[in-house]
Amino acid sequence: MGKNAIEVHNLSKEYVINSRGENWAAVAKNIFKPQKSVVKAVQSLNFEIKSGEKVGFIGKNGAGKTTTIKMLTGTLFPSSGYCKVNGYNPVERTNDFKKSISVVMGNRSQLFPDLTPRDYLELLQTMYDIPESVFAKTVANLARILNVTEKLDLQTRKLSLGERMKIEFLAGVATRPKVLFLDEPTIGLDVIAKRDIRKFLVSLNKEENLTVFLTSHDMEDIASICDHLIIVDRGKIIWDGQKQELLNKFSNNKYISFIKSESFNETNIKAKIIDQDDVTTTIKVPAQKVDHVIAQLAQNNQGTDYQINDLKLEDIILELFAEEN
Amino acid sequence: MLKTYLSIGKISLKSILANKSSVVILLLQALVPSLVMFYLWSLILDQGQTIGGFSKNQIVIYYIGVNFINSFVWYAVDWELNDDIHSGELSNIIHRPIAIEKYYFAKMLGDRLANLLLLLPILVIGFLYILLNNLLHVSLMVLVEFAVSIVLSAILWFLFSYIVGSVAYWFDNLFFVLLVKEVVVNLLAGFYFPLEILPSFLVKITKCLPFQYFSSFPIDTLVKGFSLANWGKNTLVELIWAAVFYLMVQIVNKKGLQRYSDVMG
Amino acid sequence: MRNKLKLIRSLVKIALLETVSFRLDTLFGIISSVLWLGIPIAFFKVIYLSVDTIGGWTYKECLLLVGVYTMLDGFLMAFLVKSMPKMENDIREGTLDSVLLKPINTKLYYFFSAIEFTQLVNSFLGLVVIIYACQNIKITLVQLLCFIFSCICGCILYYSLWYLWTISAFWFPTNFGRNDLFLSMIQMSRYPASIYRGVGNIIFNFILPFGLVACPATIILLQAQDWQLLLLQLLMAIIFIFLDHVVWNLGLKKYNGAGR
Repeated sequence: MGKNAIEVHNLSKEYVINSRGENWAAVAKNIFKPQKSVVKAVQSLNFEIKSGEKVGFIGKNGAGKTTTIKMLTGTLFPSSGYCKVNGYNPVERTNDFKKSISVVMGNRSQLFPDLTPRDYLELLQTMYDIPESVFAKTVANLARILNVTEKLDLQTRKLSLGERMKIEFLAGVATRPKVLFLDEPTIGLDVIAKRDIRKFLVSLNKEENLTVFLTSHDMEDIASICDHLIIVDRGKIIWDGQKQELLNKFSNNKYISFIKSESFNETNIKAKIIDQDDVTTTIKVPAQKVDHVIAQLAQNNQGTDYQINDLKLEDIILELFAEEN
Repeated sequence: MLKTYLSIGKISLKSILANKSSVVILLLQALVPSLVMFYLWSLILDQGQTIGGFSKNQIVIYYIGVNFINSFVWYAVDWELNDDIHSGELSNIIHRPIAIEKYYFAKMLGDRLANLLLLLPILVIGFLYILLNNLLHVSLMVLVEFAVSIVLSAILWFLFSYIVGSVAYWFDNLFFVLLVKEVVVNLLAGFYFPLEILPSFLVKITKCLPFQYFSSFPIDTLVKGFSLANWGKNTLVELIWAAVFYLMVQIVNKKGLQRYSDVMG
Repeated sequence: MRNKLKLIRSLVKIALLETVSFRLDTLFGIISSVLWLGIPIAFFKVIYLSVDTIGGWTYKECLLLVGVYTMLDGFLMAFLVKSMPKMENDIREGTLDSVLLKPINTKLYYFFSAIEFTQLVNSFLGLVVIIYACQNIKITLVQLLCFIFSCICGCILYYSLWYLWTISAFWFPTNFGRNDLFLSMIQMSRYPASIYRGVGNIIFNFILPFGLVACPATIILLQAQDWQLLLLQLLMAIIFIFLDHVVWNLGLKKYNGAGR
């Protein structure tokens, strides 16, 4: 096995869907002759991920994130192209492959609500064929880091969302995978639970050289965990590189926000307007011109309360999407 | 690998024990229809007649038997598979290092054993009551035959239901398909009434189908007692059916999973 | 009121669209309707091969009973077969709140929230059987009115039983078999109520009044002089409506006390 944990070559996925039609006539017609349309969820993706990397896989809803994760985990078969995870072809679904990965989905629980987390963990232990003593130690250790030691023997139904999610994480890594796939793992969690989980991931990555493949809408998740970013839009990659590289690329720009004055006139603004509502406006200007632009705006009596901000990861990604359109 | 299946079995066993009141539900499900049938048939056979070779006592025990099999041997793999496929729950099992059909089988086993365990006192008392009151004459041999038939019926039922449930890979909603299957199978398995009371040409047809082994055959074994040769012959046919179903499960499972991975994920 | 109607209309529309979009399922829905009616008829037919009457009921009369039962059953199943499991699930999983917060009566919401139109085919077939079985019976207008009245009471009892059984989930949140059990129980309504003796009579006519769902309506068509039975049925229906109300409120108290 090479040092690449994941290799993806021209990976594509198409779905055929039946559309029902909007009105009664269309519905009736559809009974006899279903209308089909092809949706390209993912279009020829290419990327490589080295083992031990923490990858953020970013995109809007429907960009093909979950589809990609499902193909990488062998749940979904690609329409064309192929991928390799830990040197295995996921499509073959060999047990060795399955044991080398773990999947945690924020919106789908894998726990048994009627039983305790420990019951579930015991099942995993036999399923993944891990020696009991080793497993017990791992679980105890992980539970301590995640602050859920005393929750392990309560009925899962009685746990809070955050606690349940932590257990999912615990279960995900307790089987000692080489690659951990996370799909929206912090959805609906509070700040403290999020922080615990982020810390947990970073430390595991360091200690066990665990490869993390993460999708999230929460840019703070991505910013604090990931070092390698892959950004997709409508099934295509629009950026693939180190996080720092991306930040650097946009570091020579700043955002200026100000409250509009009564004489505000859009045509007077020479810079690009990023965002604007009834009260405020945000514009983008090159870093070295900030003072100059503000002076000019003030002179023309365009606004008050000027604020200068660096671009956050979130802004950069929005800019990337805007560039694509 | 065996350990994994035991572990899954243990999980579903614990699930049942966590929900003890569900056993009460199952018990009622078995008893109330039996009770109604008791009243109905007591009235019909009140002069000591027989119907399809069944006396009043025999037919009441027959109904208790099929209702218990319905509640405690049959396990709705088809409904569960249909649910899991359409809710996407199946994905949770696919990426685990275990074969899907074996996962469900282990689940059924654990579930049914747990139910039996909880009900054991009631079953023993009921059985003793029947024996002590001389409502039924059974030899040790018949008991052994009965036990074997029950186990085989559970296996055959699983294989058949798994095939039916797999249809969910190809269709959006199976609610009524499963309902129709339920009614037809119940009828042909002798759940609504003993197959022997049908006109003779219909009896012949039902005896050629595999469904009688789901409940009619094991209960007949207990209530009427077959000769060993007759029982053995039927059991052999049952095993052949099981083999056929097993092959079908392999095919359907492979194609279904392929389809699941192409379309649904 | 107009708002309510509008809401009901849009709920009905959604359910109808859902029904149509499952083609294969609709086909099997119709097959299941035929079987649903055919099996009990076959059952009685087979029995009447050996006997002439069961508890004073002839084959034709049993056929009428099966028709009445199937008609009422199909009508209520259409409304309840999906919404009752939904309600049970909401109670069990603690998601009832979102419904309680809606500006509509909770019972009304669940009643109309998931309608299974294919079940109405059952009702229609049941009606066909009723008409067939009534061919040689003279029916007066009074009898017909009594029949309709009795059917309504039967529906109320049917609904109440299922409703009470479902909301028992407040106290026994076990997660399977509840509705299956009800469905296998309610089928007992298609047997003549007169088969029960002694304890059975009390159980199946008062505690679990399956004997009062379809039998009174059938009997009133056959024998107009048995109108006292309707009073009993009405009384039981009123008692069960009252029970529904009380038990639901007790359940809500328990639900809110759980502090989710």
